[in-house]
Amino acid sequence: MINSLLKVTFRIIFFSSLLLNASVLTTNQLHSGLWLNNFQTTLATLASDTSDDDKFWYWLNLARLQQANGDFTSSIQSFERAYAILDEYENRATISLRNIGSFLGSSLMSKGSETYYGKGYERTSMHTLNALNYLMLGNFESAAVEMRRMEQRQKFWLQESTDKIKEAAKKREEARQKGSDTSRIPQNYSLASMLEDEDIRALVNNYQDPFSYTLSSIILDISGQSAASGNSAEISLKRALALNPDVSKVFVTLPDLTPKMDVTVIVLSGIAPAMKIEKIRFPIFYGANYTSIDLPSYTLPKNDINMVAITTDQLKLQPPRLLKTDLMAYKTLKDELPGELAKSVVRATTKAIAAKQASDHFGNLGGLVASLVFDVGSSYADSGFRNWEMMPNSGYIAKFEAIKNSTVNIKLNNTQESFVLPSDKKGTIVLITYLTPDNIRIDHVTY
Amino acid sequence: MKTITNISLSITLAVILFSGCAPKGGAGMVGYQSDVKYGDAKAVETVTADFGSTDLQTTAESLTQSLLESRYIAKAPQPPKVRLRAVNNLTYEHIDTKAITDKIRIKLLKSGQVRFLADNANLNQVKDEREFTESATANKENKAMADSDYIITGNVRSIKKANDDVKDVYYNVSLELVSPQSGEILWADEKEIRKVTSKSSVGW
Repeated sequence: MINSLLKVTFRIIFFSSLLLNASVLTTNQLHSGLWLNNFQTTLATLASDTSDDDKFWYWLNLARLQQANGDFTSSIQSFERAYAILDEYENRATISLRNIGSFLGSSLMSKGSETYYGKGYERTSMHTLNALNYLMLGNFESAAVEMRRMEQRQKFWLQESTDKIKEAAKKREEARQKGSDTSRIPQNYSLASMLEDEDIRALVNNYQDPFSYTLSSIILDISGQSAASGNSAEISLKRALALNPDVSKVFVTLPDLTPKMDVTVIVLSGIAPAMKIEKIRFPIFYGANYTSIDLPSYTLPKNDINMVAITTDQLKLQPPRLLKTDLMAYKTLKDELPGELAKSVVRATTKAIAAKQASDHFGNLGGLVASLVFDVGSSYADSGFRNWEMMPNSGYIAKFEAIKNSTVNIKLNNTQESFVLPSDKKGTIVLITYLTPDNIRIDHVTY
Repeated sequence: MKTITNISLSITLAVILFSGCAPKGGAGMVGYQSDVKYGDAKAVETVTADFGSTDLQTTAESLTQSLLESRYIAKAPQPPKVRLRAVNNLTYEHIDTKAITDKIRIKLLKSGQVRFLADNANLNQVKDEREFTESATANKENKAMADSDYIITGNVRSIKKANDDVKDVYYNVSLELVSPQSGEILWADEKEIRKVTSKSSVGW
């Protein structure tokens, strides 16, 4: 009874908050709206909200929720809208006025003045997830196209990263000449210790994941395109193994089984870390005024599971976690932090100089007002700085053989799901989407 | 003077208001002026560097002509029976390869030099063709439908390269004429397309 009352109260509060903020769903609203009772409302609200339809992250968030709802065709369309935004960015004029404006804004005013075009891991994963859409529609050829795009997209990211490293070195030198040390991470920065984590150090790079390459190998094999494209399935598998040796545990064959079929189980679970901008404020000029260093940061992932177990009458296996979005996000941040730190010091210095001038002209109160104006202004800009918050945090793949018409059991933490295999097919691909413990969806396709 | 100005302003405002209420067209508005116009279906299309209508047309034209000139077709005592299999899309784009095979089929049929068997576009390997023929041979009615003299298969590939200023896309469309009995490739040809797009130096 109390539980029911609590549920009703929670739903009233949730829907009221959606109505009050009918135009834009905040990160927190998206997170709380993934539970089964609220999911359809959240999806409908997000789909009807056009205020952010020029934003890369908006289409990615929508595409992910549409996929989690089994609406694969709409999800493909949303991913295509995200691609169009990124393509436009990647193909801009060599000297683009928009890029210059964004660069100046983020260099002098606030990190939030930048337009977010995703990090390397997001740009590759969007193609991987879209390949899953095509897979679930039985279109293996188009799924293979998406996997090729996944690899192609990495090239621009590498170029962009190289440019950023050069720019960071330039900024560091500028800051050094002005007497600022940008080599040390501020103590108050919440992710300071996490970025030194051993798992993050162990990642080969910040944009290639073994999940995408393993899936690519399976898709190219099933679509029959591997031989025609220079054994591309094998090449993908080698890349996956180089990124994570645990990929070898993905494939299980049982030679004596009959009548058997191939079963591929793909699990996408949890919600990736959401980006935020962290302000570290400190006083200047005897405490009368203040300035702040603003650095990109991440929240912790949500609703994720830590164990997937698959059992049939013949086998029991625990597929490895191959997609580790949180680690890739932190790795990207770790790689970019020196540049971000240099830029944030330049911004802090700009604001401090302006506050000093205000203080000189209008006294301490003038300086304080100037500090507050900068702070509020940048906080407003930072609030719209968002990433692909609905990206899955984990991905698991298992490909094994099983007897036709038998039952497969899958355990996701404490939740058990089962399905019966078909009796007349060569193979099946099962996609399990775990958004919350009560919002789990299972889709499949046969071939 | 002030009155004339007021009248002019009123007339301008009225024109703007009325033009705002004008119908925008719809069903049955035959001849209504709009942005829709017919274009030349054969005109060169360069909207983007993606595989487009011009590529489809030139590919089909060139490969069909080459195939018709091959001795297996040109010197055949009677038009051979051909089955057109799917052309694999191995590019970075969602190309409708059925559009390519359909266009080639139409051109070959119009030539009168080949006969086509109904195809199953989802089977794209010679092995499938042989299995199909073997299983159908047991049934005489099916045998005529399954027995093809040749099958045509193919691939579309692309290579993309880009630097800061230039994007280069290379397409290669290849077709093969294969004997389903022996698996021998009797004829093959390709059509190459290269598209280069340059970034503008300065822009929005």
